[in-house]
Amino acid sequence: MNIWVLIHAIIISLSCSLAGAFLVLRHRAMLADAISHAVLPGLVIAFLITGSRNTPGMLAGAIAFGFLCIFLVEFFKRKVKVTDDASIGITFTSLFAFGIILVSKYAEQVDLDQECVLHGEITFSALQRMHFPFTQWMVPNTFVTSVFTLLAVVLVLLAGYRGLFITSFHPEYASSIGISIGFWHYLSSGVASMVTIVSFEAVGAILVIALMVIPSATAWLISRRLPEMLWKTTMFAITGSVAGFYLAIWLNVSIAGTIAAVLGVQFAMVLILKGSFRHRSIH
Amino acid sequence: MYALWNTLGLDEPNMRWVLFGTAFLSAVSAWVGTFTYLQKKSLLGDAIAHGILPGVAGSFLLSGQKNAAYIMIGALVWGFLTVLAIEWITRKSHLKPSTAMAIVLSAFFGLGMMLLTQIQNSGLPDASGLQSFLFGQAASLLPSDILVYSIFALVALIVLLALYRSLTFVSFDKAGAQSMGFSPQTSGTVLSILVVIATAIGIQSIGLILMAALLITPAAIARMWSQRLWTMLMLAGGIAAVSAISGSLISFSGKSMPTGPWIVMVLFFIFGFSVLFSTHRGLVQRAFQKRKNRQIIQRENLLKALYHLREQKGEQAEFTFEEIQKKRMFSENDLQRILGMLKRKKWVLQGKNGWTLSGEGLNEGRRITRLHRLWELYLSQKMRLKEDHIHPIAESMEHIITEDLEAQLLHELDYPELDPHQKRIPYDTPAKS
Repeated sequence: MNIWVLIHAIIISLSCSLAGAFLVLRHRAMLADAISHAVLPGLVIAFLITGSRNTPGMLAGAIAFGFLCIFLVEFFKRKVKVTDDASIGITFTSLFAFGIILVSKYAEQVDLDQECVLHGEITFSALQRMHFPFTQWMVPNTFVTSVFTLLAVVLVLLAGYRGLFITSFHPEYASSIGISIGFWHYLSSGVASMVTIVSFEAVGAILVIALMVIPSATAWLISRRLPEMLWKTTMFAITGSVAGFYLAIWLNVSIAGTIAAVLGVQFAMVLILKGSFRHRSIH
Repeated sequence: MYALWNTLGLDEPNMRWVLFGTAFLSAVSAWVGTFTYLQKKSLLGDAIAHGILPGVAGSFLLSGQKNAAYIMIGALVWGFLTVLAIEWITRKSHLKPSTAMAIVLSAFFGLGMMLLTQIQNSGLPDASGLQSFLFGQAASLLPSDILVYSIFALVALIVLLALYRSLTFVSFDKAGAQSMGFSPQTSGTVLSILVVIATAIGIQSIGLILMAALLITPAAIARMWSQRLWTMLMLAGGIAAVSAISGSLISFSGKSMPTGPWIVMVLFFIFGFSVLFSTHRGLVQRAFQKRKNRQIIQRENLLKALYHLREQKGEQAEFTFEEIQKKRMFSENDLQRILGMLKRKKWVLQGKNGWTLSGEGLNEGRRITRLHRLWELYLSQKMRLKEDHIHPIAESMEHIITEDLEAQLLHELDYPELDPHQKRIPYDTPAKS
């Protein structure tokens, strides 16, 4: 199996887990679930219009649907008084259902099938190669996008660190000194949907959730400060994807599924061991 | 009509079985979903639905066949494991239930994916059929499958009916239920078990990815149309059954169309319709109500302005647009419209030199002015607010004080003569001396 596939998986897991950390800190983990399902119709529609994959159009379509999802969740909650979690549930199931109908209706054109929506096809993405900019390396097509996404996530994290920090931990204080909670909420959800879209094709809807939520939740169990939590998040993301990758190859099963399961096992082990070390964690 | 009946395959008893079966199963899921909706635990259904995949795939792997009974057992076992895992995480850590759900659902689903690919590699004869559990394929249901699922649905229904009172109590008044000796722990566990069954019975027709919609959406729609639990349950059940039938029919008519997404689309259309037109939360109804309220307020403000002018300029005077606008700012258009409306009601009269109040209009204008001044007096006397603070509050209160409240105010203030600004409070009959 190709080393690029592994590197690709690591890069995706880094951007997903860092983007997801702020959803987890805001107790909005299920929004990751919602976004990862909701971008599907955007991907399919953009594909039908532009006729190819990996285009800016596809990215734009998916981002539009990511925001549509976040907007609808808020709209049903505030204007129609549907309960919070029901509003998430209604929005993403509907958008995802719409996407699946499109996929099965235009199956020939779209070159996506229902199953790959869930699995992703990280191994196939390795088949189409291109030069990484300014180098001689032949890398998988989607690899370049993933690298730039990771850079973007890290940039947003560094530039917006204070805003993200303060609105995650002290929302009341933040709004009292005039920091817009809404802006940072939409920013963190926006970054999450961007990451979802870029990773979706490679790892599928479900692993995106696992990558966004599990490493940061694991790190949160044993961290006292935000920077500590963030670097532990990246560690867990890397160990999980490397172990999952090799286990999947050894068992000859779905790579995305195995990484998700291994991340779960990691979480369970940390939660069990934590009791014996008596750590205090940040709240 | 008969031709349509035939093309849809409804002349086959098998198809009719499938349709009525999915309708019944969906209704049961929606009933359980109504309670999770009321207890704000809607996403539990989504977590469980994803979490049961290893059970479905595992039972297939162990038995080597697609048998509804085995699959149901596997699904139930993993459903309970999902619930237990979520509870374990929330108890052992500071993570919120929603985070715990996201962790468990994605990890378990990943495990299920591993098993699914294992099955595909194994080359078992039925392997391709497993796809139908992800997105639902109602057409693949056999009468014997439906029988198995229906038995479990009946069990869930009986438990639901047996515990109807305590579930209702906990849903609406958790603290009260607790003080009456209903343990929230027990009722939570019972509800989780019901959700597991409600999710598992739908996996073959809806598919487990979208199963959550059947638990959430009918309940949310029903909530928009009714204020009583009983009607809410009837509505949710009916909506679920109708969308299950129409979704299945649409999917039968197209080739390789999965059922689940169509059922969810039908549900979403009903939801969208309700968002717009529902009787007490619909956007159209609310916009209409808002407009009506604004009209009433404008009308009352105009009557009040005319009454004030009359107080100043004497009873015989007629007032021009400019005079009214000087008293209170209305746009030309608004003024024309409201005066036209009041004229049709015969509350204002149009004379040679302008407008004046009719007898009825006079009464109304006097009423508004009285309420305004009474409230100002109340605020300054009883609430001890400064005199320059009270006018804006009275401006809005004057439109909503009811007759009862007015009587109470009069009694409380002992039929006063003057407001805090030393203006007379006008009464219909001469005030008590």
